Amino acid sequence: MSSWRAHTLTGWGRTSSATVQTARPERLSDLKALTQETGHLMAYGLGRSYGDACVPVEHSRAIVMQRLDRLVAFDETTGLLTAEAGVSFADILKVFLPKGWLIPVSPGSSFVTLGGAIANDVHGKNHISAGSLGNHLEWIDLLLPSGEEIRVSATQNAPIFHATIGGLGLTGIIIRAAVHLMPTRSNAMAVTRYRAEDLDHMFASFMQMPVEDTYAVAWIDALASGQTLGRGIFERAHSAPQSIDARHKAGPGLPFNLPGFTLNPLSVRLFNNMRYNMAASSTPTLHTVPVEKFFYPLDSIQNWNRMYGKRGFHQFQAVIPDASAQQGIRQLLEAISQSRRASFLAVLKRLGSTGQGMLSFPLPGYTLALDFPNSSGVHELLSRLINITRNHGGRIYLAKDSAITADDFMAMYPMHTQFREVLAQVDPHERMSHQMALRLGLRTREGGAA
Amino acid sequence: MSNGTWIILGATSAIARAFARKAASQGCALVLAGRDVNELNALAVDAGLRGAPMVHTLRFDANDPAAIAELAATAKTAVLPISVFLAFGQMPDETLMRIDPVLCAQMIDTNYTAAVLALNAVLPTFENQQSGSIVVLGSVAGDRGRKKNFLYGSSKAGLHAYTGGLAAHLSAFKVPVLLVKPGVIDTAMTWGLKNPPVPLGSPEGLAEACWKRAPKGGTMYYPWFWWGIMTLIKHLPRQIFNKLNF
Repeated sequence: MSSWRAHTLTGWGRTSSATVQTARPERLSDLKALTQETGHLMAYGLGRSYGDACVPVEHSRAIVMQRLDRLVAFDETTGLLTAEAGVSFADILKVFLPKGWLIPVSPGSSFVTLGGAIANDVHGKNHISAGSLGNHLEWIDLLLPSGEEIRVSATQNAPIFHATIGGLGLTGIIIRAAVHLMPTRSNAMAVTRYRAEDLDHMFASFMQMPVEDTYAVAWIDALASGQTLGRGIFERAHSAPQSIDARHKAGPGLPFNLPGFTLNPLSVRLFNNMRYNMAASSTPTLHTVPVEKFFYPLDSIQNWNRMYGKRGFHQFQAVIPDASAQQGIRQLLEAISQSRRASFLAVLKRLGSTGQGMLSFPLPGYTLALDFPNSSGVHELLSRLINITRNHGGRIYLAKDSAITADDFMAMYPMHTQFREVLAQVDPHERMSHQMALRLGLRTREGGAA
Repeated sequence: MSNGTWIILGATSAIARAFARKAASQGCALVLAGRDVNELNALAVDAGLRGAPMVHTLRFDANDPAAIAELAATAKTAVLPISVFLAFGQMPDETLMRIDPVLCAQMIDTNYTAAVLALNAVLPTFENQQSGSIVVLGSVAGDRGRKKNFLYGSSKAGLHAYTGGLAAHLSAFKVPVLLVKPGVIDTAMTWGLKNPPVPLGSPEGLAEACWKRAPKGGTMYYPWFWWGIMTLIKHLPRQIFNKLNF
């Protein structure tokens, strides 16, 4: 038995929220009955989408998936893991890293569910070689809004499979999936780290990677301008030949919101300067670090999103296609630096091919991600950045987004028409919905009545 | 050296599931006993993948005498030494139980009678093996009967008294018995609660605490601050206590 309870859900950036009826089934057999209720419905994982992709429509229903987290099968020879959708990446890693397996693609936090990661087709620091999560899925079991359970894969119900990968949970509730884990030699990563003086140096670093390094990421000081625009720390890595004795512990949590003024242009500038000058030398240095520390830097402070105070923050992440990547990223950084808006984390990564999903984010190019405190004027900046992205044929990552319009969406995601066709087939009554779906014009407020 | 077997009674609850996973990760064999066979099978696969070398499921209805006999047989054939985690119990609506004798009797039969019979059934195995440990989930509600839930609380109080005596008896056999008194834990039972007045404990946190404390036995509140709350409640003068609405 599982009951409904009023609960306020927010996105990770805490800029939008909704008070809705929530239920948290403890077992799969409880799930079906819950989906029979009327009105808009969505599945909620660990709430790590930044904007409104995980925020339900006001007065609707959300099913919290966290307790549907059983491991279902594992093939030791192929590394194929089958698990319920609510299992977290942290949990998978805890069980399988000691056996020599890694999750093939990891976002910056391990506190994401498998279902959420599929619905956002997440990517990691190894996108060039590994692609996004959708590239590693064998199949997905989906509970359609009609109550019917179907298996979708590249060969079975293929259009629904490609609509579900990166499909924001709109095709139904992902209940189980089979994902190929990646063999690894150790519990550690061999990371080469150095300071890059400017943006050209940064791009050169991405382009001249030694073959053995399959992971790369750059941390950019988003406040630097002029000669030093794009300066930061470049990291490339591969799995270390030997394990290290390092027990990773969850860091301290932020139990409450910090006052809004804690992060101001001055404190962030000081932090960025300190980080730039202390964290790395200008000559490449090799470090061996635990897997968790390399993949999930954000997890070292729990609830770090509260750092931005009550008003929360927006995250912006865009990809600019290779053809004009250097120019596009430079324009974005210039606009950001001119705006003088504090941002701790500006992350630059290189992306390889397009994803398996109709709404998958990646395309060959470079992607820049950063946070902006939710203060007045931030929307003007965001629309400026969105326009720069659009002008270069780029797109915004929906898992992070809180700002693009329906028009931006259609321009950036040309396969939205095919996506809509699948939705019309699997969810004619528009049951599955959330605030992002309304904003992007994928769903209407009137939907879900039937 | 074998890590032995943990027999989990009422294995499908969130707390029992968390404890089974902990024991599995430590290389213990498991017997998962409960009513929902499909769910038990799913949990068995999960526990196997998390490190349990052997997992058996046992269809176990606490109120069925045949099930108690089967439990005794299972205890004898399991990889020794066995340990027991007793997690079954039910908490129906108190006002309903007051007017529905069947519902009330079922609750007492499950929380008290069946728990006593189940532990009695495995007692000889513990006396023989002179190792392993027993963990019993009681409740803070069993510390003092309160207006809001004295039916449920009294069933747990009975279980507390039994567990205390069991611990004394088994001390001669070097078997530690841990009585756990959970406060409000974040489970399906408490999901409906509006604005809980105190922070909820997580099932994983409780399981971890039980695992650490099981070899020592004794009484444990979880989360820890419930020790303070319950000490206060137990010592409130009757005149004040009777006026409180909780």
